[in-house]
Amino acid sequence: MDLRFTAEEDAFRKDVRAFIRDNLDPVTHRKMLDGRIPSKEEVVTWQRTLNGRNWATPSWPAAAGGPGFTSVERYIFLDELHQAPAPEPVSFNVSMIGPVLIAFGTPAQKARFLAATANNDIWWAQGFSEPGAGSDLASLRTSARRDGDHYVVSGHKIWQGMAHHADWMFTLVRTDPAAPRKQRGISFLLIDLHSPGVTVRPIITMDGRHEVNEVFLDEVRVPVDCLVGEENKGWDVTKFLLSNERTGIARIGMTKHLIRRIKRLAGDNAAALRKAAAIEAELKILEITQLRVLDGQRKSDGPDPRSSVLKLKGVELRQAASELLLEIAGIAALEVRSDEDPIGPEDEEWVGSIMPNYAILRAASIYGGSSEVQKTIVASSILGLK
Amino acid sequence: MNFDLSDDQRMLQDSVARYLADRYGFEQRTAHAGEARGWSQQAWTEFVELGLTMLPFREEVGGLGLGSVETMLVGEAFGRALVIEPYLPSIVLAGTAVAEGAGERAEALLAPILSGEAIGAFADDASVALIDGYLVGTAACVLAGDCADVFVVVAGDGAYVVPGDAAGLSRRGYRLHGGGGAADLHFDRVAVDAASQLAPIGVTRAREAGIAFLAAEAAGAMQSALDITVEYLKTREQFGKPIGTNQALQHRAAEMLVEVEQVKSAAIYAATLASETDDAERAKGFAAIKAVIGKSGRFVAQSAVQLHGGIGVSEEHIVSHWFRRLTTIGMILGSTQFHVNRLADLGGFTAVRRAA
Repeated sequence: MDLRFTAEEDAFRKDVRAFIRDNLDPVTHRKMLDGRIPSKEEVVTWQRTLNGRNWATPSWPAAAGGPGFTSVERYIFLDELHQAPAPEPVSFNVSMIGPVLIAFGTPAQKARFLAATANNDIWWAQGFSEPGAGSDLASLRTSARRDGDHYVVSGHKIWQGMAHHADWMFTLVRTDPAAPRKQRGISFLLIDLHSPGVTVRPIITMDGRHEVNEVFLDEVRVPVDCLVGEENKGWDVTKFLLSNERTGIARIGMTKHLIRRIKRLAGDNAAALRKAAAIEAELKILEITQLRVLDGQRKSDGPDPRSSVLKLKGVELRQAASELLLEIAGIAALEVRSDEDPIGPEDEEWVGSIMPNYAILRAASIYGGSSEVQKTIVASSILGLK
Repeated sequence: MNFDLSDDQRMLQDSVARYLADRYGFEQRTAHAGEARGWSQQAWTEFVELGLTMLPFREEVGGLGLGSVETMLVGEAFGRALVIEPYLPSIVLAGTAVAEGAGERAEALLAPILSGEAIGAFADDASVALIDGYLVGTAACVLAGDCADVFVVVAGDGAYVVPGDAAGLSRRGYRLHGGGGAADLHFDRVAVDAASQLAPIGVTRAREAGIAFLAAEAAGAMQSALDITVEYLKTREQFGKPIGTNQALQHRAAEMLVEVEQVKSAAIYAATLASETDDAERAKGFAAIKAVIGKSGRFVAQSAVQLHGGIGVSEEHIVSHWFRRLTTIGMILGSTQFHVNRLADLGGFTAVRRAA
């Protein structure tokens, strides 16, 4: 039994760290340190910089043009991004639609989309949830009816993260309303958001920011070559995508970044530092749990149910850290500021993001399978309680 | 990175599990607890015969030369079976203090402990002082202090080996909730000399080994408490269906599993920290481990009782014994809050600014 990384893995971590240090735009980096949201241009530029090193698509196999990371390398890479902190490559592109196209796409779809997706020449949005279909995604109602070489799509999608930046949306639509099981009548379509009939409307979240949207689709004509997988088999594609979304990264590095901020703001406030230590103790142990999951992934391909443990505990600790950061910042954090406010002198702790980030981090236990859904998965798939 | 057990380690795990399944069921354990000292000399003799008392120690001091992973496996198995014999105080704590702190005298001092002839105890309480060659003061709740033949007494930076019948040493022995015994010790000018002195590293290593063993014990006890709880949820019927069909109970069980996995990780981390050469990292690591097993263990103990309903609070149900053991684990060798504070005092794991 040995928890150490190999010499190659340690060297890889150093490599990633040096690459970020040498190539991440200082303004983008400072915004990340401050907890501000970087601009679209900054995110795209950074993703292209990573792509220049073939690191923009950490989960893509080499055969599909990705770096072919091992699960451990992928973890190290993301951990370095989180700790730096640096923006992650847009997850809709590289963690969601990319792997789907690699697994289910036609040769023409791969040729058309993969490289552009990696380089963020196309920014993708996710078109899954609807006002009436959240955790019960399969009850979605957006319809697509075949009309010659097109599907004609109408419906209302919601919670499209960064769709106002996006060019395309991978979308679940109902192609067979009469299917005996609701999962059977669903298809997976790629929709050009610049098409006539598409309206993207902002939803302002409780952090005061515009990050999510709703998308209205009104008789949008989508060429049939934008169908991924078979018609009415979109649920299989979706399950594949969602299992990738939960590949078991606890985002410990992000919490470490919050702990650093806590310590800088806390100074010699012993009571605050003790609260931070209580979080750090659990975080350190979660790191070991993370390594156990990675070790298991290396030895078996199947989804590891302990990934749910990582998400549950990872989110719990991240939210606890953000709450402690808010508590330490105190009333200074209450003033409404903007991510666009001028950046302060070096070493100044920007408190303007603390309340917004605390608030919006509540979403971390809601999206990607809410904590309650995760617990139901743990209870049924690990404990056999149904 | 590799979390696999070796074949030998797996064999050890199997043989300890088989032995405990055969010889240490809940009824036998209850019988052991009813013996004069609250534990079984017969079981202790069997532990010696199985080599368990020698297992953690280097061959040079009379041990089997196995490592911290093997000791972890023993701890997990003991946690599952709720072993009440004084393995932690005599072997893990006093034994390690002597093995790592007594230099060339270690083998001779350890021999009676490893052979089972003598029971050791570890008095780690800041209120004993060394004054002019005499130990003076008191030590509270010394595990196995009620029956110990030899004490390792921490005083100042070092520690001293003191026979149980030393002049000036008196004790008040008692039973502990959750099994086993302890004593409050009173040192009224107990003479010690260089021959009985242990190096400070022995104390540090004993504390670390104790936390590692508790982590393993907690992992075993928590997994067992979860297993029996899940079994109960599947079989206990109310309103015409298993109570485990209720989502509120399912979620509580899932929350238990999260904490069980965390404590398994803590036990593994503890076992691997034994080879960590950076003292600061070791110190932080063991503080974090103790803090986590205390907090997570308490949650799982409370949840296991809660999900069992009324039967969970009864003496006759094993879950109430895991509850008490896990509660005790959180309190001994430094409380949860003590170790959180210690981790804070050590600066935590995350540097204020990140190295480039």
